[in-house]
Amino acid sequence: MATIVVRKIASTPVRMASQTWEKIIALLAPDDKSPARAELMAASGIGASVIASEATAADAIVVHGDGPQIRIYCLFSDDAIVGDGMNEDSLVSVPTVGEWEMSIPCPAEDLDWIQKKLKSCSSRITARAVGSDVLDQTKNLSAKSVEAAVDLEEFLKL
Amino acid sequence: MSAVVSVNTLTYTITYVTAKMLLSLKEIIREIGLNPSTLTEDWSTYENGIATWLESRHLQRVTLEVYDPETNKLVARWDLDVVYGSTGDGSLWVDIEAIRYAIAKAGLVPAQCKYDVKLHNKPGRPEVPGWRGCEYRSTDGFRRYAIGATIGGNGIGAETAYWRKS
Repeated sequence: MATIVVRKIASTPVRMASQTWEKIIALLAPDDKSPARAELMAASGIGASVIASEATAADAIVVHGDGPQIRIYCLFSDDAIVGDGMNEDSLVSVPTVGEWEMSIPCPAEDLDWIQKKLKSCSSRITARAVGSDVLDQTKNLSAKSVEAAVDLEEFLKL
Repeated sequence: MSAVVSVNTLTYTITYVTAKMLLSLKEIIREIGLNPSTLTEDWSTYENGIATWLESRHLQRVTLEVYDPETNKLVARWDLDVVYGSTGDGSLWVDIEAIRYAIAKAGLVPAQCKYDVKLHNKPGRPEVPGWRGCEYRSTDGFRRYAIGATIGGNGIGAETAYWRKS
């Protein structure tokens, strides 16, 4: 069973969309000189536009590599202001060291141009339409098994 | 129309209105048949300009100019006019569907067209990195069509209009 770590980041109207993406980058690639940081920065405009469309409210930005799968959601509106469910804690391990991939959700009508744009700036970041599955090693996970997945960080806090 | 947020501050309103203005531009660009990727390349610059000048109350209009790159002549234009002091019930809202409905009437533009985003400010605006003075392309022979209010907040909103050849 895959281990899944979830983070929920406050976005609009607490943060601008681009500031939200910067916060996500800081979580995923804290070393500002790392190649991963540069690759994520190159996708900043796409990241911000996807966040502005609120595609990341119900569909996660998914990062998978050697460690646990990271799922990042954004909180909007009252949820962002109140911070209900917000979790912006640093990750125990850096998920963008070594081999990693990221899948970004976007509105279906934006998928075509976003895929093309991402292809021009990153070999690791792809897009998928909201509501669709992430095409990675966890694609066979059912929603039920995801809910039952162990949150390693929470477990270690016990 | 989606309505959100029952309690907000001016900062929240500015952040929200800025985000929805850019989202509106992205929707317009895509729906008229162009690629929004150019818009995303300078997304944070647009955010900074719009938010800074909303806060200082200099910003009067956000304009999308669509032009023919061969002639540099205007092909279509969309305006998001800022309305300050609009009374609200504390909610923040956006009506993207109204814009989409208008796009259906305005029609597509030729695929080779390019676009610029221009902000119109009152005199005395504070400087924001990445922005410089410019002029609008001529609207001679065009007619302006108002859509109405499409973004609302506590004290700041936006009304959308488009131009097409009459």
